[in-house]
Amino acid sequence: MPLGLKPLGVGIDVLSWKRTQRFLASHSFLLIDRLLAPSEQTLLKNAADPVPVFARLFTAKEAVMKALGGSWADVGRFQQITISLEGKNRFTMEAPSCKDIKAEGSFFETPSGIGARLVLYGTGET
Amino acid sequence: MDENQIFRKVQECLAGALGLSAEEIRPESSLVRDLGAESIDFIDILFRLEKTFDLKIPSGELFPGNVLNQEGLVSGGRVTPEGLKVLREKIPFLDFTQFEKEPLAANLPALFTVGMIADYLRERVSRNISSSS
Repeated sequence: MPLGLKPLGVGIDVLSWKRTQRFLASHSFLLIDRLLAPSEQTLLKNAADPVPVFARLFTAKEAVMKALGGSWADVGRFQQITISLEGKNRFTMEAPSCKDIKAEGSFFETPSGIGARLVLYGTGET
Repeated sequence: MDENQIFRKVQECLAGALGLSAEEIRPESSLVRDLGAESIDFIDILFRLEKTFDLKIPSGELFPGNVLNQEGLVSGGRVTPEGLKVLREKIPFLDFTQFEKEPLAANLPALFTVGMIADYLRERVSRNISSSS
């Protein structure tokens, strides 16, 4: 736990490879970019295989939104959250509306896809 | 575009997004409970509807997932009377009759039905026609 901070919320999300593939096959990068911050857009475009990269970014963002208060299907809010992948299994997040909040996230494999879990830390309430 | 055409197009969008046949998608079907929609599917559906109907759906207008984020609208996982009032204002095309009896915030996504999406699009399409005439 980051020094001087306390846990504010937890979030978890899972996504199957099959659904990720269907989503990426159905929509152009132009449309998918509406969900992603600029650095994430670059990461996805440069990926040899976009499926695991997009699945990681999406589940991480979903986990953040759940930890912050249960939003869903909020395209605008997705883009405001920037996920940074650290190695294969860890991530952090930044969001303009949560400057004082730190996040520690990790990915886990499921039989059919991937999941993200996250704990948010801060000095007060979300 | 008449009501049946709108519904058929909605059916096609949902069938594509959820990997189902159009016949499985009925007006009363709940996206989550009956059709198995997950969070990525709501986004997929939104993008397909925009493409099919050639319109932009503002963030949070069709699926206002963040409507209950404001303080005081949910307490102990239950939507408060104030929260119900806000829901009715923000999502006028949704029927809250059953939800009111057990207003658990986690159950909100299950309220969204195929018929609700079709109603929303009928209203949007007619709004577009009136603004262009």
